[in-house]
Amino acid sequence: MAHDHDHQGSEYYIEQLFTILVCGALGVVAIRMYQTDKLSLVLAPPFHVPVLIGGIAILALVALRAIALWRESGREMAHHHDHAHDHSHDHAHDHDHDHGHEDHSHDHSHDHAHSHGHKDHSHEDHGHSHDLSWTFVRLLILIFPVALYMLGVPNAGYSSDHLKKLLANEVTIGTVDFSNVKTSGAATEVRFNDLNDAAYDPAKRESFQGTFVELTGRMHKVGDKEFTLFKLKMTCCAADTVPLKVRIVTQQSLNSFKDSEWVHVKGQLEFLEVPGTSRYIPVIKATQVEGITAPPGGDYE
Amino acid sequence: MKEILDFILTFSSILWEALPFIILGAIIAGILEEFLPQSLITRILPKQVLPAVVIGALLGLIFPMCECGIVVVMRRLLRKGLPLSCCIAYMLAGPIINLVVIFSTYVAFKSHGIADQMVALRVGLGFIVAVTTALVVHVQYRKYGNALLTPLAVPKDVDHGPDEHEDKKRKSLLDRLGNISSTAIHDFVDIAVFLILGAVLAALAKTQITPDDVERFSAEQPFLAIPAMMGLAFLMCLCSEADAFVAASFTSMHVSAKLAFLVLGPMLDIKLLLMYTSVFRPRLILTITTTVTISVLLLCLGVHLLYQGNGWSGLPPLVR
Repeated sequence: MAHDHDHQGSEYYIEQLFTILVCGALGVVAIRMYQTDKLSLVLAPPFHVPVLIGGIAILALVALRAIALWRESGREMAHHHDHAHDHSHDHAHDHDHDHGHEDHSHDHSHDHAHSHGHKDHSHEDHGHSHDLSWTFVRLLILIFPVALYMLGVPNAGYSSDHLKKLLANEVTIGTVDFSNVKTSGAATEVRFNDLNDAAYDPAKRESFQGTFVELTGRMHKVGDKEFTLFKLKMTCCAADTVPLKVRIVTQQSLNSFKDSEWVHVKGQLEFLEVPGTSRYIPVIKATQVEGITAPPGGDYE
Repeated sequence: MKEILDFILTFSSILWEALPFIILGAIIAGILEEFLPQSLITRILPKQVLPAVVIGALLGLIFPMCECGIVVVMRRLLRKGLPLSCCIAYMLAGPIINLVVIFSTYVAFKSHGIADQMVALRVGLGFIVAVTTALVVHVQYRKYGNALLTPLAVPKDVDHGPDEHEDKKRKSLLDRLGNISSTAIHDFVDIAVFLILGAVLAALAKTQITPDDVERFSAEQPFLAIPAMMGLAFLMCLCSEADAFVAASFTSMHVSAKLAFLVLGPMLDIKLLLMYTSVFRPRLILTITTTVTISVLLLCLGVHLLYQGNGWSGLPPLVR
């Protein structure tokens, strides 16, 4: 760089070294999270491999940078010894490109117009300060995800309190007629998405109406004999999680069950109108509700 | 305690989803910085503002980029001399007008029967907002010039053309790779810091407000549905590939409100705003923010009135 290296050289290299270390750590964490499958808690499957590739890419960049830094410090030593000689055009161009790519953490215009005379170091031109404290703040911020990984978080899905919040506005469907409801026979396994899609299509509603089905999910009580059966759907990341819901009505009280408990439901599927609107939702008139252990697939559909 | 863990889960998900794309953007930025000749851009781009801006807005069809990666790439393009207005158009429209997002929007709304409308409106409105904002920025640039940009984004003086050529001859592959990695790591660190801060704020916001709250609020105050959805899009920081599915889950909301969510989100949210600070100065950020917000608001209101005027319900088809 075209300025005084004597007392600032070591600061620059320290800063570069720490940047390399922190970025490297991030890369390692990315790869480890992929390998230990921690990513399934936070990201939908299509986004797992990009994290792995990203981690490898950072490590590659860090390696290249480390090599370049090593070579630069070697050149630096040689340059220092030749410091006294005249600053030729060549020299100016070396610094041209050094400026372009090695002054990191500083905002500065790559100001090629400034004089390469080594006397002229108005750092205001560059707008950078070799201010280690600001650099360290940035590196600290960057370390935050590494720290979380080392603390082992996140290590679970959303808490039941959070799930309750997601389902806070369920409205009861009112009393339901259980006469002529199928209570046995072969149950078809259905999926949340299919049922909710069908709710908008009269033809599909017709085809599903009255079938005997079974479905698994978590329970969210809406009344003494009514609950929302739900699973979560993560499109990209946990932050965009939405609940997939199907309403269940029973003839028995649900006192023995707790909220967020996993249950398996069998019953007759019908589409009923939500009171006060002209929308339909899928409702299962359940003849069997039993508690189960959490399925291997977990919360996400 | 549980809230803290929920917060960490939300934060981590936003972070790890965006990080690979930021790395990609940083690598592209490094390559551009090293290989893209400044003169190329000025040679192939139309001289007049409007065609250049229109091309910028449609560039996403050729160079699809996530909204996070785009900011990184754009800063280097600015340095290489791509006109500011063109950059703005690409930055705003790119995350909407690209094949991946168009496809995911279509898929998300297909089962609700309004896929065609949503895709057409999202692309159309995105285009209009991007071009409008780009033109406004152009006017401002004429007045303030490079003072609108942070030092790193300011275009280099073009008279260093001869210098560029000379140096190219003397650089080895290792030198070039070294330069690319330098730039890439520099840009990565720069942007990643703002991503992390943005993710923290978004995760915090999410602990307080759920999409359901917004839906209920909008049902109670129909006139505030559009601003409420815009506010939610700003706070949620969703990737533009996923947000269509989230918007689709707001089944009881009007097309205009969902549209506001889908057009504003990719252009402006907490993490984007923070990332903008590394490229634009406050005055320009204010210009972009206000122009985008007002445009989206007015256009979505327009859509709403259009639907009302024609008797279209703007909701997923109910009972036929």
